Amino acid sequence: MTTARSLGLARCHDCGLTSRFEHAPEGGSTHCPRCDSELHMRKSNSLSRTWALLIAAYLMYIPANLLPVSTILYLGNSEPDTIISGVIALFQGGDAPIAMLLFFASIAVPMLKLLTLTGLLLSVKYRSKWKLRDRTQMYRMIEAIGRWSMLDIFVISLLVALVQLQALSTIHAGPGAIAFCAVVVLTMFAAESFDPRLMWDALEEEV
Amino acid sequence: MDTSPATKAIACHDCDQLNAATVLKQNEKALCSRCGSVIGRGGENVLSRTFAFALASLILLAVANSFPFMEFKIAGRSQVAHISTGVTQLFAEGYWELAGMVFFTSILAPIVVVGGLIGVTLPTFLGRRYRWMILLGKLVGKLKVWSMMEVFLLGVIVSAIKLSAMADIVYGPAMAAFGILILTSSAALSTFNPQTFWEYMDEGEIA
Repeated sequence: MTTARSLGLARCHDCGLTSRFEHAPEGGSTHCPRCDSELHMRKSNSLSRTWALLIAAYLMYIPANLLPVSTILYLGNSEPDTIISGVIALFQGGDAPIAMLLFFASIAVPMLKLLTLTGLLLSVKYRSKWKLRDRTQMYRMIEAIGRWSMLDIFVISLLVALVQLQALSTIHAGPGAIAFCAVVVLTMFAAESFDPRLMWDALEEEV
Repeated sequence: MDTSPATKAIACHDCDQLNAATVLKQNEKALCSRCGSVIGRGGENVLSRTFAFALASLILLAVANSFPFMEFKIAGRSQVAHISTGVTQLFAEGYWELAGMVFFTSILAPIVVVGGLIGVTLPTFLGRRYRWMILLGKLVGKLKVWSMMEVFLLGVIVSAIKLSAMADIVYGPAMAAFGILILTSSAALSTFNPQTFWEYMDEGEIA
C-alpha cells in the first residue's frame, strides 16, 4: 500500500493528473503542470467547510419540513401542503408509486445525506479504521444521488407554471420550498467539500 | 511537462492509493486496488462521438426551449407552458431563489455543459489546442452535476400524474425534443472521457 502523499505526489482535482507536489513558500501555492489548477494534498479545510455546510443544512431542514412548499387554490378552497403532507395525500389518493418516488427523493435522500455525512465526518474525527471500503462507497453513493432531491422543486415549478387559472384553480409556491431547495444545495456542496481520502489517512502513522 | 515514472501512476481520488497506469480497451474500467473506485475508463477516439451527441443536444435544447412544452386544460380553459414558464412564474411570485435554481439547473447549466463539450471536442478534429479549452474542460467537470435535465423530466412525469386527476394534459412539440435531448445529452456526457481529453491536451503545443 502506497499513497500518493507518502511519495510527495498529489492528484489534480480538475484534470486528474498525478504530479509531484512542491511545497510552496509561505503564502504561495502549487499548481498542476497540465491544467494550472491549484494543487492540494487534501481538499483545503475539508472538515470545517463540510461541518459548516452540514450544520446550515440541518438548520434549513426544519423550516423545509414545517412550512408549506405549495398551496393549491381549487374551487375556492385553499390547501397548503408541506413535503410530508403532500406525500401522504398522494398515498391516500392511490398514487402509491409516485408517492414512493417523492418519499424517496424528498424525505429519504436528504435525511440519508445529512446522517451519512455526519457519520463520515465523525469517523474522520475519531480516525476510525472500520469498513473503509464501505464508507468510501457510501460517500460515492450520497454524492451521486443528491441531485435527485431537486425533483420536488421541479414539480412545484411545473405545477406553478401550468395551474394559473385564477378562481378556477391556481397553485402557488410556498416558503418551505426555498428552505428545501437550500437543504439540497447545501448538502450537495457539503458532499463536494468532504474529502474521502481523510478517512483512509487513518491507516497511516500519525503525522 | 514532468513525465518521470512516478507521474505515470494514477492516484485514487477517493483513497489516495497510487495505482499503476494501465492501457484500457474499449468499455474497460480501471478500479482502485485499495478502495475499488473507478479511476479510469477505456475507449479510443470517443471525442468525435461526444461532439456529435453534443451538437445534436444543442439543437434540441434550442427547440425544447422555443416551443410550448405542456398544456393544462380544465373546464374549457387552458394554460400553455414553456420550459421556462416555471422560472418566470416563480420569479413573478417573489420566489427568486427558486426561480434562479430552476433556471440554473434546467436551462443554464445544460447549455453550458453541452456547449462546453462542443468547445473541447471540435478543435481536436483540426489537431488544435487552445488555452481556453483547459478552462472549458474544467467548467464542464464542475457544472455537470448541476445540469439536471433528467431530474426535470422525472418532475414532468410526476406533475402530469398529479394533475391528471384535475384536468387534461396535452404535450407540446418541446416535450418530444426534450425527451430525445435527455438521451443525446447523457450519451454526450457518457462518451466524454475527461482523461482522453486531458491526454490530448498534453500531446502537443497549446496555442
